[in-house]
Amino acid sequence: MTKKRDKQRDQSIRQARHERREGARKARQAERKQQQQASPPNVKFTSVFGPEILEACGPQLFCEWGVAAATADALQKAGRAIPSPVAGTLLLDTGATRTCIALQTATDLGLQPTRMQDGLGAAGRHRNPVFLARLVIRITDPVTNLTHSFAWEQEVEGISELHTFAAPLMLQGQRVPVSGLLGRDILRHARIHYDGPAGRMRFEFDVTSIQSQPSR
Amino acid sequence: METTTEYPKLEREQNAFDAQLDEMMLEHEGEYVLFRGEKPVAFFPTYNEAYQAGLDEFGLDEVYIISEVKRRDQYATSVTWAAGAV
Repeated sequence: MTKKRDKQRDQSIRQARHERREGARKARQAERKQQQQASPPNVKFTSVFGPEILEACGPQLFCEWGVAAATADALQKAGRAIPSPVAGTLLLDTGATRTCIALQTATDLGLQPTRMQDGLGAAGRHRNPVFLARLVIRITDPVTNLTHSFAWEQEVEGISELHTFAAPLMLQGQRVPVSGLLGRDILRHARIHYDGPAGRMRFEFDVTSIQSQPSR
Repeated sequence: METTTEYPKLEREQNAFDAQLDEMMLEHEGEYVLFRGEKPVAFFPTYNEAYQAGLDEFGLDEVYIISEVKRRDQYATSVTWAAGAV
């Protein structure tokens, strides 16, 4: 009798777990579908740095960091100012597991960390704060003269002193600090051609894929 | 373990989260948890729902965790950054 009751209980626990997972899967699928409907097609562009700058600074993209839409809504409801986006560059880093934000940029935006991530860094084992942020990549293609931009929200890991480690690009005589690393969680949605002798990079981002599978 | 900057409250929450991860995995693997007061508050099917619930329940300034219930790797954040060669 007891065995039969135990068996029935186990079955109902398994059933409940299955239903929860199925519910989560369906909700994620619906969220992805909703995001895909509003997404632009693939974005392709060429960045011309020149061989010396590409060697010295590495492949960098101009970007803007901002707060997530839900945070902006909450700030607005609370009668607080929404921080202006912070401009900078992203250094393409195939050695980075995750996309990172310079801690100074996260602080400037007033981002609150949502968890900590264990990992390895310049000083050995460490824990970095993780933030939900909005990221915009904006670039004018020198060949077609068309400006492309696309945005998404994802978890990013805060790392310290990034702007002092990485060589900044110059734009109209102004230093633009490196404010993030474009890691493999984004690069998995991109095709990139590095032309060292010509000092040129060709990028193709699958924006739909980036927006529908943001790093969490 | 070194922390890049000081987030003592979040560290406490994260330690509690890590200690309870195996237990949460049994029933809630793949879901997203809102975790505060060193215990799970609620589980959600998507990150955005968990994040919104955190804002609705605790506002903009309280410390809490939003995370998928999963085991995460502990590899280098960035090999070049880790080596100081960025």
